[in-house]
Amino acid sequence: MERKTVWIPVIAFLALIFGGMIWGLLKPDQAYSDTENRYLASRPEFSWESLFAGSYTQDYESYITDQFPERDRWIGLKTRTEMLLGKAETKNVWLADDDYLIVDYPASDFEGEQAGQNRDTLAQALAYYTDKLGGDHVRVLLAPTSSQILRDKLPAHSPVYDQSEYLEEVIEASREALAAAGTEGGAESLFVKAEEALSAHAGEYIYYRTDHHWTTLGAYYAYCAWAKSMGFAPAADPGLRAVAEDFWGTTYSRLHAGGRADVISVYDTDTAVTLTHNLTERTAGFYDWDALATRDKYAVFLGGNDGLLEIDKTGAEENADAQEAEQAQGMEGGAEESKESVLLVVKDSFANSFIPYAMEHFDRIVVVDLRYMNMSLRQLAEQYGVTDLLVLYSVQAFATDATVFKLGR
Amino acid sequence: MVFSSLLFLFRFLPVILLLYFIVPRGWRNAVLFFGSLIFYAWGEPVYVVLMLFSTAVDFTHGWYIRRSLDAGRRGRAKAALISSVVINLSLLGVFKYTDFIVGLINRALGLAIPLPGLPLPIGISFYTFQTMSYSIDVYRGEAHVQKNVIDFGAYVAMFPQLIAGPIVRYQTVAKELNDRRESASLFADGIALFMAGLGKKVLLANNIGLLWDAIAALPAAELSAATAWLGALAYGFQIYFDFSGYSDMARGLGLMLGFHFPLNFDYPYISRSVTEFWRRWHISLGTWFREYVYIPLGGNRKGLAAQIRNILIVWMLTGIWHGASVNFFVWGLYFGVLLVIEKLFLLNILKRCPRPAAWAYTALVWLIGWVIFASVDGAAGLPYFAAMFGAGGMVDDTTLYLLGNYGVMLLLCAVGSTPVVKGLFLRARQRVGGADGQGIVWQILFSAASVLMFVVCTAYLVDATYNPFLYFRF
Repeated sequence: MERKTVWIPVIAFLALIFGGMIWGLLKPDQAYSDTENRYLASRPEFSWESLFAGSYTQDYESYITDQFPERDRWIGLKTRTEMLLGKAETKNVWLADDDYLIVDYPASDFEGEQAGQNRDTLAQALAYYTDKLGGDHVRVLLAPTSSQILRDKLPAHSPVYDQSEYLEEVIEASREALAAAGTEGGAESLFVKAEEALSAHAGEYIYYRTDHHWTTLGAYYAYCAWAKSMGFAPAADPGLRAVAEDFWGTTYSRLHAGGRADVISVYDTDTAVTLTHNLTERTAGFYDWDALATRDKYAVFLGGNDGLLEIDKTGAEENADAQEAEQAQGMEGGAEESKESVLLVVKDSFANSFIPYAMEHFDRIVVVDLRYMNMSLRQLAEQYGVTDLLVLYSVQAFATDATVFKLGR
Repeated sequence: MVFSSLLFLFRFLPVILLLYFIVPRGWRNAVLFFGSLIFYAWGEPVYVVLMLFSTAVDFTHGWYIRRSLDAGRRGRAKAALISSVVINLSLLGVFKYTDFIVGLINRALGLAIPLPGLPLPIGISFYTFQTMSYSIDVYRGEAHVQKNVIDFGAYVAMFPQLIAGPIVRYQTVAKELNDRRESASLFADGIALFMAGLGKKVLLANNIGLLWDAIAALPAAELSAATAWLGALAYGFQIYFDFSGYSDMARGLGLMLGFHFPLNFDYPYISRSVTEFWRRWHISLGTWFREYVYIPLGGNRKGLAAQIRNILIVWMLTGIWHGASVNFFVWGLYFGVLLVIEKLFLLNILKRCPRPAAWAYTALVWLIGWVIFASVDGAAGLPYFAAMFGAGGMVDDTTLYLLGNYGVMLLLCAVGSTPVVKGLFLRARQRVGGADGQGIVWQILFSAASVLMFVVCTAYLVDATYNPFLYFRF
């Protein structure tokens, strides 16, 4: 005998599948995911060719998955289930001690073809720039990521790729390139010992818990090591001022669960600066306070990543413009007549919190992010009368970035 | 399309269920047939033609066989049967085995004939076996001829079992194809099976598959023995929960639509002999080979030597049914030889062994079997075997780390491989739900559990970083 009660599970099940469908159909499509920092798949255009090639149906499935309602919450639910299942690592993120979410970068990031190419590009670039600027004026700072420095926080027996192995390779390749170019002095002195500097403070808040970047404090320790290697007296204390206490970074965005909110602090400097973004837009100060109201709070530093960013002491930017115009018209080598010190920083986002400290030692800083810049770096260095160079990436980003080749142009 | 996808759960399934239940009963097979075509064409927009061809071939052949038999022309009927088998096997041969055979010829004769590289149509090994079963059943008089091409098409293309089984023989569903009763209680049973299958696939198989992938990605020369065995176990769990999960989902969907598909997996990992293992593993394939190959070859009726030959033939075929590659052949032969050994004397010894010893022997056999099964690149599997036997040390940090990370998962898989969970479910239903299992408290509990399972699986599918379809070689 069938009783009416059997309808209960039937109705529950139908409510789920029909509810999910209707919810999905009613929800307006979202073009961009702030939390994932990527464009979501949109409804594919139908064509017979794409259907028969199989791409239409594949794209359609990505579309359904990407546009699923409340995507972030579902991902959070999955992460919580993973935690319940005792996972110490999920989606290449370690659920580490002290609420740290630490990205597990695979060895292949450092052993792949891209890593080898970038190593060689850097070595060649160093040979060129040490010849141009002198070995005392060129530095490379490849910042280890948190998995390298905060090993004590990782789950027991975690297999971690030792990023210093790749760094050693890079130094070796640079040594050879410099020797081949007949440059005096070794390559070692060009590399800032960032791992040493950070490891000495591993117990402090030098990496964000929920983001892959170092904190401003971490950047400060690396800055001290760099300044000393350049012969400068580094700023005596990090001068931190907390500006946001509810920062949930990119690592958290992968999981949408776990971790603990981070605090963003900035270097509270007296130096008034003007930033010129991509030759056009001017803003005042190192920090874009509006970014603190958005999801991507890390963009408070320098207003995010620009292809080309000029940083001038306020009042000096007009002068600088005039000089540039002169140099552009005048003969080559005009740069050498310039008396001001100009630092060129070629970097990824790790540099954004570091640069305010560096400004203590230069009249001007020109910041280049090769991911968004397509001019010749050599010409740029000439044009700006660059006196010093700093290449600053996280080791992992440097090894995997497909735009590092522009360093050699 | 696969069941474990958001597209299936939140688009295809609600639409097909709605259509299926609102049309008059007489149209339901048509809904099933055309819906299944869309289901299949979603993944194979071109090869759907091939499936229709196979359907048409056996529909006409079946009809001709019956007509010839009725007219007393047994010779003609037999010729038609042979024609059907040849056409179906040719389809399989061309689309599944061409590269394999050309490769073997090249290697044997030192030639370099270019490989055609035809992509394998999804599910071809399942549906050609089904359509063949129809022609054979009709020839043997074990099934009535199907006069309606839509009904026959619905049998072949039926989306629940189309791409990953179970292989439903025509005679099994012939009656239900034209006369079935859907009901709420069947539907509810279907939900239970479907949820169990979805959970097995999405929560257990995909998760433990990550462990296998992690270990398979390590250089075999650096694997410690413990890690290598852990990898084999993880792979065994993955393939079992994936495959049996698919079968459960298929059977569950079948019940929702009013069909009873046969049980395909009956806790194979609790087996205490290889013979028993194969009675519990992929039962519908075993049945197919027994009914249509082993018994026609004479089975065990023509003496021991013939029986041994028949076992070996069936298991070599079973091997390469799983994929056109040498390792599958070796895998089939490996089991064939062990089955013969058990038949000759080992089974008697095993019966007298303590149960744990017999189980351990069987587990060892399937674990090693899975490593062969996974070694698609042939000799690439050898270093892995070396690692299993200690070439890279016994235990290392990697082992401990992976055990820590997947410990709970492994435990869940181990428990899930036994009838314990099902036993608890049935006992709870009886206790809470009363004699007919329909008490309201039970129904509410069961609904809540289903919703929870479904919601968690959805979360895993939304964040689908890993959701493989393992049967693309079958």
